[in-house]
Amino acid sequence: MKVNEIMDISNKIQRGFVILTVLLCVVFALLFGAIQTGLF
Amino acid sequence: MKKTTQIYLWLVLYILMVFLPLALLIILPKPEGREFLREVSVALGFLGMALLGLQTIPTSRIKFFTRAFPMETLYNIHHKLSIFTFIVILVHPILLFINNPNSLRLLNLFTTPWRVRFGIFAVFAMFVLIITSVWREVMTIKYDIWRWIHDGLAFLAIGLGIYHMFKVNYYMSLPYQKVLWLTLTGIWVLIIFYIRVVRPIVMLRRPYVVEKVIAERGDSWSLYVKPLNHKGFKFSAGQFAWITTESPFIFQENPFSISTSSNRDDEIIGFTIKELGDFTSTIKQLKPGETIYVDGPYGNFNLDEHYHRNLVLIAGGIGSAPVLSILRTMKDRGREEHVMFFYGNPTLDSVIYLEELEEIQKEIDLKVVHVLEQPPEGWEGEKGFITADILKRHLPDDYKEWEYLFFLCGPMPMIQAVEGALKGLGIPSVNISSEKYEMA
Repeated sequence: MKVNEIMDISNKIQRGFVILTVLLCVVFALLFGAIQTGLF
Repeated sequence: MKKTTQIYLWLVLYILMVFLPLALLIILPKPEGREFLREVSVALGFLGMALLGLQTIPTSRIKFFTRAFPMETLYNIHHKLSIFTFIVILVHPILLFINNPNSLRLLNLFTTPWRVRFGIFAVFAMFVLIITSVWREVMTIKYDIWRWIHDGLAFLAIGLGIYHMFKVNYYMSLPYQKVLWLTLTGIWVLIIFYIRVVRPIVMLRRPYVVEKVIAERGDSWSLYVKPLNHKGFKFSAGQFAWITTESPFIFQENPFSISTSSNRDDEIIGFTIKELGDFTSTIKQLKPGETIYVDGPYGNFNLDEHYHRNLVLIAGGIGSAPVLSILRTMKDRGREEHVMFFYGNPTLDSVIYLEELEEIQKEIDLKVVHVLEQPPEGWEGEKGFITADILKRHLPDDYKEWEYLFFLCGPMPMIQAVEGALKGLGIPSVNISSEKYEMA
């Protein structure tokens, strides 16, 4: 794998992966709360 | 399997391990729900615990992760997700207190049940963990001691957190949740076992001996080591390794860039190390024949694996060690591409490899641009720090078209400044490969 491809993936992961984890955590926590209290 | 597919599969697996317990709780039958804030709090507790346990993976240096991901990316993700994990874990009790202010009495450690005590201790362990990691240098904690504190607190927080979850026993009363969390805990324990037991054993069975130690300029020392009764390892110029003079079980290891050519056939590996205190001050005392342990190679730079015809190397001080490995390798291979080396140092006397660089310039197409903070009288070269102006002055007019690959190595502030300067000059970030000297 070329250095450039590694850097490209690295940049994407560093930007996107943490944001994705944070968003999914918020969504999952609210969804679980809503389901358990009968909001859905 | 393609490396990119492998990378994305690992990321999906990571996400699955974080969200699977909660996703199954959402889908499958479960105990009755309670107040909204209480349930959100429980969900955050589950997510925080899964994230905490999985923080053992990015910095584990397990080969199939370090081959798939750049080391710097793994550490970067670890730093960011650890802080986020702490926030999630902290919000878990806060929501419970908002939901029911009477529950604040549970904070009384003398009267509160053990399951709550363990939860409080877990949050406190994580708090100390984050504080000592983010402000390690401000708190002047030595790296070796910090690593023990860091690992100890992490294991403590995981153990206390798991105990807390099992003892609260609401959603954990479901058999499949018990199995799932025991499996996840098993994975974390296996990773810890690999880091603490398997890797040290592998290192002990593959020792190296000191060949020689040479004094360099700028309070630096070149340490040459040779594998003892094994073949050592193959590395690419620009890579680094963790080394220790103590037993690998003591974990007094530090990462250093390899400075020798990757084309040497005598199996000797060299590191150039600047004396900055702690372990680095002991290098000069090493004697030929002494045992040393090396774990490597790591790092994703590869001289042969890029799309560009030419190279621009930018380093500050001891960041020149991997650059020298690249230049020595190019010299040994008789490479013909054009190379520029922007080399920042405080003074001319502190320029490591000054004479050798002049020699290499005679053998390959290399242009070295020295940038000195305090130049000697009559100095006609560049002064100050490596800036966009200095880069622009020396790069060819058509540097964008020439398709140069930029390799940066040095302390974090220098890397950040130079990366900013390069982006300002219109260099795409995929053309920049950086090795920062602050991965802890």
